[in-house]
Amino acid sequence: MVVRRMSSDRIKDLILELALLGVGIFALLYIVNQASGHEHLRAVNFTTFPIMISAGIILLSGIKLSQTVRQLLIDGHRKSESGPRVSLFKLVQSIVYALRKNLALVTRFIGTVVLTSIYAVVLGSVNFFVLTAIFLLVMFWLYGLRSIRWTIIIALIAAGGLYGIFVSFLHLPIS
Amino acid sequence: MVTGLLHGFADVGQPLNILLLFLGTGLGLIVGGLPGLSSPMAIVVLLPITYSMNTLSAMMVLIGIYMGTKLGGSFTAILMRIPGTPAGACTMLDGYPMMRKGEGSAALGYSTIAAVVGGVIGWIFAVVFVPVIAYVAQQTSNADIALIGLAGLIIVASMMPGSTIKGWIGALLGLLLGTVGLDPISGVDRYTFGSINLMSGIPFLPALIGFFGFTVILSDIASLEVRGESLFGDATIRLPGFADVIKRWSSLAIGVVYGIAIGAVPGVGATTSTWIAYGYAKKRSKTPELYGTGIPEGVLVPEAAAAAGIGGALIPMLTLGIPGDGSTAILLGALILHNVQPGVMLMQNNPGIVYGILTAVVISVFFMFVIARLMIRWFVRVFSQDRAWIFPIIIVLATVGAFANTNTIFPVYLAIGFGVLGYILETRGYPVITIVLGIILGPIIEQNFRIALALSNYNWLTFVGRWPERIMVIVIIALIINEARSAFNTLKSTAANAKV
Repeated sequence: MVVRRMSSDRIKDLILELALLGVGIFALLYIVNQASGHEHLRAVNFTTFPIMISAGIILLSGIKLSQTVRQLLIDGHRKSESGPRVSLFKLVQSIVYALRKNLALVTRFIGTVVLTSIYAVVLGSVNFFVLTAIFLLVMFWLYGLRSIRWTIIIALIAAGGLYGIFVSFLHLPIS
Repeated sequence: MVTGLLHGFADVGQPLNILLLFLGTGLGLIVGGLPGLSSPMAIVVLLPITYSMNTLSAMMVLIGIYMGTKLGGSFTAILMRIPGTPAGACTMLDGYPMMRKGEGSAALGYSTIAAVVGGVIGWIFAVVFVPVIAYVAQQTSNADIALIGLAGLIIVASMMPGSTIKGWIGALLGLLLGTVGLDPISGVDRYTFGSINLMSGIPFLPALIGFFGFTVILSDIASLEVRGESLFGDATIRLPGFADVIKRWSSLAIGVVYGIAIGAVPGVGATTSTWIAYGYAKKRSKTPELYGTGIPEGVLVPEAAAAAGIGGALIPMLTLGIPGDGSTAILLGALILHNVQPGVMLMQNNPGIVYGILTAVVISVFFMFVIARLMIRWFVRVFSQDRAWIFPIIIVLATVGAFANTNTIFPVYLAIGFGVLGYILETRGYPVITIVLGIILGPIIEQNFRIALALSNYNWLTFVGRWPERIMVIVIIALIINEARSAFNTLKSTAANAKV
């Protein structure tokens, strides 16, 4: 179980390190490509700093990546010594199990990002007080608060307070 | 210095400024006590409310919050065994056992006194050293500024807990984000992908809100149910007698010395100083076995260190533009948002702001003492509430705050994007503070680096032309070699452990 958790952590590390390496390579290629459109550049120009930074990201994420790959290989070697390999089906099964086990947390996480994005999109086109009160009500429900009376009271008071600060006091164009 | 301070007291003494400082301190005490709501997060979500204020009034609110959170964090640590701030975790070691022994009032009293003493002594150090270091810093050239910025970034990235390489990658990502927008010297656009919104660079506020607001919310969703319950029905603060404090002067002294010294090191912050000070006090004690069982010394040391660290953290922030911790990084961002350029010229160009901030710190210590004593019972009620009530309100504050940056929706998307990115990076051990510092320091380092080269007709020796520069270069190289060596050793030992 511990080995599986370690491997799962290493796979997450691996994905992130690959992404960081990708960012570094992309940033480098992008700026080098941009420099090719400008002739007679000085030795130190608008590309120098980004090139140095992206090279640094490539180097350091490369080091981390090689370290993670090495550890994964050692883990794999240990597993093959201690027992049969975990099949892809079992891996998917364990991911589904983990998601089910943490369903409330996953729902909250995705719900927070999605609802906040929707709130941001609608901001300015719907009355701020109404929008915020509805948003707060939904968020309270998402976070597990089930007292209808208190959620409505707190949502209305908080929306009123926020309306007072942002619309009445700061005069933001969101009403 | 004395004239500057007197002006500072006169400016801060304006009724509106005093009121804002008072409110900020009270809010900081509450926020500090709520687990998950850290000082940087509170400062960043309330930053937009200060838009319409003048710079000094805005700083009053933010300094008040910064100060208040330090003490508030220990209240819940003592009363509920839930530290409101990371630094409060150390206070919990002895504070909560004191509470269990029925000495909760005394524990709160010791923490309050230590915060006041630490805060005042830290402030005295800041008042003495800020003008001196600022004067020296004013003699600097473009090359010096670039080197100071670079050294600061390397120190911060290296001092972060966990992997040094991850700290450096974070700093590099921040520097890369700092290059987005029109190049200030040639006018060529970099990494804008044709977006007009990115032409003037990554805006500070959405980055701060994303990395310190949304990231924290997303990280804390998992622990939403954690709720404090005080064993102490009717909380009061019983201040120790003068003799009690004098008897334990060495504990206060250890806390203060470590707090100031470590607080002044960029990026290390109060959390580290409290643990190191506690460890040292325990080691030199004649009865080290009593630490952790509920003794006043165990409360005094970390509280004094955390409070004194504020003065220490303000020294590099006000003189060099290098933040001591996450909160001071946001305070720097706040200055920029109010069109005040932090850095070595801050003291020369805006002495009123510098002395105003310094004065606010000591007045806030006084407010902290008064508010804590009068309001502790009410605070305990707030601390006992479910955090699910507070998080959605913070999300609204953060969203509207990002919107208020330019009154457009783009910064909100950016803040949410940075929030998710920060969450992913934090969960894998990449400190987001280094990214924010990279965004803040990146443009300063690059511009001064290029101006220095242009002024010297592209002669690289300009970076080692004078002794201060040579020393800075040696410091930077030594830091890089030292960190590379320790990172290499860590890699080697990890590989060896994996093989066993």
